[in-house]
Amino acid sequence: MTKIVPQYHYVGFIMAFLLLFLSDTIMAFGIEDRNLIYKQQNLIRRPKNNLGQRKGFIFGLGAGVGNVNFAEPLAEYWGSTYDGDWPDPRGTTSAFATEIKVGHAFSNQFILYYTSRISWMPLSNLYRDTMIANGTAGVGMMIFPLKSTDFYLVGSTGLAALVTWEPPFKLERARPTGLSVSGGIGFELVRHLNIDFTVNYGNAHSTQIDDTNEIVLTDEIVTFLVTAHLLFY
Amino acid sequence: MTESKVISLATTVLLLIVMLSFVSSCGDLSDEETTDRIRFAEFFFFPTAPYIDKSYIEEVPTDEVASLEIDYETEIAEIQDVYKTFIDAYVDKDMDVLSETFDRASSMEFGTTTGIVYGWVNIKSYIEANWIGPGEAECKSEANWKLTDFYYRPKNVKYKYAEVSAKGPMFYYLVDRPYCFNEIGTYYFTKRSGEWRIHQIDGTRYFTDPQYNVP
Repeated sequence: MTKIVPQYHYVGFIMAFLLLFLSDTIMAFGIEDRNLIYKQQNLIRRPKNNLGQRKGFIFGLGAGVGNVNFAEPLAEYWGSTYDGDWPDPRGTTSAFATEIKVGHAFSNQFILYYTSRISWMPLSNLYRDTMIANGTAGVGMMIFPLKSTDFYLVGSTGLAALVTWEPPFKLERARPTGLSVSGGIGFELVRHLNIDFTVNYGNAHSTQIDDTNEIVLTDEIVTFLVTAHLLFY
Repeated sequence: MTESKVISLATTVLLLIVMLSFVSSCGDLSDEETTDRIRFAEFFFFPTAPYIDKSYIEEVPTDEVASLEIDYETEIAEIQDVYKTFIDAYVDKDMDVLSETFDRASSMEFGTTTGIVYGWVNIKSYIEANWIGPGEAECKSEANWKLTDFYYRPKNVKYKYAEVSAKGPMFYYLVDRPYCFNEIGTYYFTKRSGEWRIHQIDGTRYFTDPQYNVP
C-alpha cells in the first residue's frame, strides 16, 4: 500500500484564517467596544439585506461549467497510449469546475483567501474513460472596486497539477505543471451568492519546481468558466 | 457572534464532517480503495498534493503503451456491408433503408456535380428529387462494387469515435438533365454509436493521412 503523506501544513493555514475570524469577536472584549463596532458597521451598512457586508472570515463553495482549450502536451499526457499524430493544433472540451475558498475579508471591498480550484474534464481514449483534473491551489483575491455596486474583480495564482482519475476515485497518475493564474469578473447577486466569469491560464508540461527558472506560464491549458459561489462570511 | 458568522462556521464544520464521513466510510473497502478515497479527498482540498506526495506520480508501464490491436478485417467487412446496403437502397429508391445507412448527426455532407449539399434534410430532398426524375435517371449498380483505399483513425480528442475514409463507386447527376452516372467517390464513415454509418460523401472530412492507412 502506498504511503500517504498528510498535508498538515494546509490545515495550519486554515486554522490561521479561523483565528483571524475569531479575533473580531475576541478583540471586542467589552460591551462598549462591541456596541461601538456594531454602530460603525450599521452606519455604512446598506439596505438590501446586508448586501455589501463581507468583513471577517469567509468560506466559499463554488461550482461551474465551461470550456477547456488545450494544446498537444495535454493530449499527450491524457493519451500516451494513443498511437498516431495529434490531429489538430488545439482541442476543446467542456468541463465542470469546483472551487473552495477559505480566507479573510480585510474590508468589505477586499477579500484574500486560499483557493482550491479544479477543472474536471471527462475524456476517453482508446482504452478507457478517464477524468483529467486540472487543479490549482494558491492565493486568490476578490476586489469590489465600487462601494455602490456589488460588481467585483477576481483573481488567483498558484501551483497546478494535472491528475488523471479513473472514475470514480481511482488515481491513475499525476503531473505537477507549475504556475497557473486566473482572472475574471463577477457579481454578488444576493448576499452569499456570487457568480463570476474567469479565464485560467496554465501549463500542461511537467514542471520541476526545484528549479525556479522552469516556472513559466503558457497557454497550454486555457479554461473559461462561469462559476456560482456560495460565499459565507 | 453574528448570525452570518455562525452560518459560515457551521458550513465549514459540515463540510469537514461530510469529508470525514466520506473517508471513514471505507470500512468495507480494500486498502487500495481506501487509499484512493483519501487521495481524492486530499486532492479536492489541496490540489498541490502531488508536489509533496511523490507517490501520486506514477510511471506508466511501458508494456501498457502497446499499440491497440484493431481488427481491420472485421471492421472493413462491416463497412462494406453498410456500403452495399446503401447502394442497393439507392438503386431500389428505398429511403427508409437508405436513411439507416447514414450517420445523420450535424455536419453531414453530400457531394454533387454542382457542389456540396449540407445536412440530412437537404440531402434527403436532393436524393428524392433525382429519384422522381425521368426514366433515364434510373441508377444502376454492379455486384462487384466495393470500397477500396481504406484509412482508419481511432477515436481521439477531437472526435470521440472511430473514423474511416474509403473510395468507391457513387451515383451522380448532370446539371442540365437528370442522367445518373457512376464515378469513384470518397466516403467518410463514423462509428458513433457502435455501428458504422456513412457521414459524408465527397465531403470535407475525407482524410488520407499516411499513418492511418489500413495495412
